[in-house]
Amino acid sequence: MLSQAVVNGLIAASTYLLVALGFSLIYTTSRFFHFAHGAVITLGAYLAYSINSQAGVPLLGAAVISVFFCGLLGVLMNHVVYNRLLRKGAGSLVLMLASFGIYLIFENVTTIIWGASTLGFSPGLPSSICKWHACITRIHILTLAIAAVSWVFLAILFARSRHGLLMRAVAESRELATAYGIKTHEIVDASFFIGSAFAGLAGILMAADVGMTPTMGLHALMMGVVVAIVGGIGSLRGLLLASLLVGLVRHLSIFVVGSQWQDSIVFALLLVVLLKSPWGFASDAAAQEV
Amino acid sequence: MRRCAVLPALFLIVIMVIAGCSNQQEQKKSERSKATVKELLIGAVLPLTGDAAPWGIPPKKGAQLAADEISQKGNLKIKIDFQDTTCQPARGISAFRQLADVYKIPVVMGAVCSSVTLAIAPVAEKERVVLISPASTSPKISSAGDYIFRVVPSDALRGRIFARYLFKKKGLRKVAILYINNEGGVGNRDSFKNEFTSLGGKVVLEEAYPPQSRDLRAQLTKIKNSNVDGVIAVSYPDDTILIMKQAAELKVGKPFFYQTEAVEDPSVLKQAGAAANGAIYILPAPAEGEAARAFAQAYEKRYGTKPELFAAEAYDIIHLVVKAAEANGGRLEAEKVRDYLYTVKSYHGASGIISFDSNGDVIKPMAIKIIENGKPRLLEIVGLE
Repeated sequence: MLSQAVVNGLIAASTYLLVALGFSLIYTTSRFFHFAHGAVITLGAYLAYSINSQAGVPLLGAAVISVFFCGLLGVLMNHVVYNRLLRKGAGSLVLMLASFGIYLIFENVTTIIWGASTLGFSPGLPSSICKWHACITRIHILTLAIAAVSWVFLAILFARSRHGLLMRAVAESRELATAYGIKTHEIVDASFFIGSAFAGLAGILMAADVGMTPTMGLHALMMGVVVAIVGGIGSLRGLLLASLLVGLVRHLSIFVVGSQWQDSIVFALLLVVLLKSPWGFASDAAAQEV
Repeated sequence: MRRCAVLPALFLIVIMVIAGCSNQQEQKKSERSKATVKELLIGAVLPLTGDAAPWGIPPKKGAQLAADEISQKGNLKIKIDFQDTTCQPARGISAFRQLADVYKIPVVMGAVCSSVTLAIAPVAEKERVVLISPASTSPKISSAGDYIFRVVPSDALRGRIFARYLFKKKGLRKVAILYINNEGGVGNRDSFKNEFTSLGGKVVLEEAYPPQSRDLRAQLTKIKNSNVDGVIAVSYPDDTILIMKQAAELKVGKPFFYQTEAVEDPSVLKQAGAAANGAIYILPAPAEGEAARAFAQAYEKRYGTKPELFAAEAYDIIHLVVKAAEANGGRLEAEKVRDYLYTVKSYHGASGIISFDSNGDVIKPMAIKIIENGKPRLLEIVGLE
């Protein structure tokens, strides 16, 4: 039973991590709560579904196209809504509200287009592999692998590439970066593209596992945000640790307390971490390292 | 800069005022034309978006069908004002107030989610507006008030019958209950548990999950490792799919008994596929007879699908309300509708044979069904004895 719970926790952690990576990437460069990230998660799944089942593109191709579109969608949101608001001097609160508005519009449009009932890529009996009293499906293994690869990709991007360096500079101080001649708008766009692509990817993987509903993005975003805050926004190591912690706590706590407390425990954990260190796991030094 | 913001706001106010006026004019017009064709305005509060929308849209379609059928006959014109609750109590109350206070509508159909119906009930009582739910099954609604009715049986009835059936016919003695953590879920859990334990059975595990949850592996893992004869699940369509698929993934290996009609939802049968096979569930007995057949035909002709959950109940509600109005000289008055409904006995409706008890609860027989090869099959019809 314990082995299964740990596996369950790891599976959950990998989706939290994917969402948190995208969310925190966007947050570090743009500095506001991008609520519509949840909408991108949902849309990633539905786009892949339509491209796959209606346009007849094989699932893998459909997923790639959808992830790309999600990236573009993120950039589009930034240009059409956020940049305009910023130019008019809007603060982060206004941006967050606008973002919430975008989320609601997308959720409703998704319901209108695809309906409110669950849709899935692969209806029917899932096949799973069982070992040491723990069962896992192929999609779970894929999700774990993709989350790991995504994390490594970002780690290399930040540590080794010039682009990553620029992103860190913008994250550090947008004004200073602009003063040094960095084209901050391009950098923010890039972070919206990569972050939203991650969101789309997360959405597709979740939908492949449990099917898609128009509201799936919101719960996923909640958990992703908890991970991002507990981990200390911007710290890759912190995000990894936090996703594992939240995933495992969520699945192991059930042995101690009733399952109706699952979500409460996660948010209690968030509160405890914030009270102890408001920057999450990442100390100031780690936060600077991005 | 500031003026820019004020102008659109002013425009908005002006537009709202104009819209309000024209609405009033419309009302006046309809009052004036009363002599020829009477128009009845009925309210409806349903979850039209969000997770519970699959249970809110069919009642809307069913009610609209009834309204159009009656309107076509000539002497009454039925209009229904549909408001969205999103299955949230606060949204439900404001939607209800909109209908009751602003438009002065005396009869409102709804809500679907028990939590919303329970939230609206005190307001309906105070405002003296009849509230008739096509879908809320929480036992608490029985005592929610004099003006509160429902055309779907209380969970208390369903839970009691299901517990007896599983204890006596299926020989279950030790069970786990897996339920959605909301009003409906808790109500179902309690009604089953009370009856099952009073018969001598034991509820070993009670596992809840939050309504938005997409990951029930923790709960199912716990159930897999418990020593139970079967699992009672109380779920909505979306999470029923999750239970079926994730239980199969984890190879839980215990029989599941669903105390909900969600199993029959087309999305569940499609998405869960073979994982749904063997699921035994309870729901109000299928309606038979001329009214049910005619409704199913008309529904399919109009919408291209077989009637989904709660469409027939909503259809019956509109017909019953109109009957009440007809008995009152074509006027819709809350007290008269309420008094009329309490006298309804064995009304042959689209959703079955309807009688109301003194709590405003409908009494209907229940059906036990099983999914075989992806299709529902009736096992037997059971009553309260």
